Amino acid sequence: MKRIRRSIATTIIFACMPLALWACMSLSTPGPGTPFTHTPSPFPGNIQATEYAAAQATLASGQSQMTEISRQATEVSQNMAQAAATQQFIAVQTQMVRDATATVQSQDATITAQSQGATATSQSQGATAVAQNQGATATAQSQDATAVVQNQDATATAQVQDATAADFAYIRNVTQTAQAQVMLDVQGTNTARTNATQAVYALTATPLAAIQADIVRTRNESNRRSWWGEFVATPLKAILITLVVLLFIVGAVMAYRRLMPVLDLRLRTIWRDKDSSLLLADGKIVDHDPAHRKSTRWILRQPNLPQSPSYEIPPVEIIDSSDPFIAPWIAETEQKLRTDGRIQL
Amino acid sequence: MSANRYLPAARNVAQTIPAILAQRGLQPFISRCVLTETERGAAWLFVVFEAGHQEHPEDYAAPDVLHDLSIALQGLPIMINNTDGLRYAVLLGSPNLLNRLDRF
Repeated sequence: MKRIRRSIATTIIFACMPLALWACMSLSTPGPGTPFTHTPSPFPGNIQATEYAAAQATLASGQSQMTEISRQATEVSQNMAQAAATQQFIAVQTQMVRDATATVQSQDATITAQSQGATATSQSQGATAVAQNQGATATAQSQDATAVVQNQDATATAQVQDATAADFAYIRNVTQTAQAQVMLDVQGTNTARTNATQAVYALTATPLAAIQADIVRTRNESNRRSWWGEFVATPLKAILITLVVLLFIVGAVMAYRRLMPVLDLRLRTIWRDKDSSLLLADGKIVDHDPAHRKSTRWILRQPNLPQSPSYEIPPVEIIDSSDPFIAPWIAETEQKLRTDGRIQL
Repeated sequence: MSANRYLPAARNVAQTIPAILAQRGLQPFISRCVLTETERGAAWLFVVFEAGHQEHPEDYAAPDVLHDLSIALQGLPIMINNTDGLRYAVLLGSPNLLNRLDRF
């Protein structure tokens, strides 16, 4: 009997284990066509498409504005680079003009020195001529020569000064132009920044932008939930279900092993007097409530049996089991018991 | 060990079986009641019927009859032997049976 129960319990366990494993596999491996889990939008369904289209339009507009802003930024950077190059060119030109002015001034100084030298020479010659009685004419000539030289010097100086003034004017003009251009560039940069700021503000402040932000937030939340569900929730569910199934199987086996003998005995000992707690066991009276029953002797009671004293009941004989008369009976009975398997002697 | 300690139970069983059979309409012609105890401690009571009095011996071996007898005997195992005559074998006690009952 125990063997049969053990075999039944083992069969149940081995029958339930593939089911549990199959359930775990079906839960842990999502199908190839598992749809993406999307959290519904908080907006009503009938206007959701329109709002989505508006959000897409807003997104496209914002992208075009960002493209325009980046183009303007590129242009500003190019202008700034051009202004830097212009400044460098102006600095080079200024240096060249200064060099030219210095050259002209040195030439003027040389000419002045030469004229002075010539004046001194003419004056010495005039003095000699005076000494040599060639006074007035030579003096006049030398004065004329000096005047001519002085006039030439003055002319050269005036030309140099004019050239220098023209250079300075040109340099100042170029510098002012460059500064104006730089200021225009800076102003353009500031304008572009202002436009970009206003565009970004418009992107984030409009209702469509709010819808777009909601869509993005919803998508992120869906992705996060999908990730949690795929890598955390589903394996946990599978593990918990497997544990529950295993616990159920173990509990069923333990309950079967624990309660089956009781059930077996109850099935074989159905009738019992309600007022009696006595049980016939091993030829002895088992009293489960001795305190309740002090001196009453146990009598195997007959449940509503028709008492028929007319039947003659022979007395009980006691014969040794080794007696050849009764030995075949014992052997036959025990063989039937072993075949039946209900009770092991 | 002596089988005398099973004698009261054997007498009660011997009184119960005829009543159950009579309730089911079977003639309880009992010729002998033999009590014995094997070397392994199993106590058997053999209730032997008189030969030739049973019109339908298979009625005495019907499962429901044996079931009613076992219930009336408060769960004692009862079996039918039909070689060399009809008789009931009632297991009054055995070490294994005692162990089973001691669990409760």
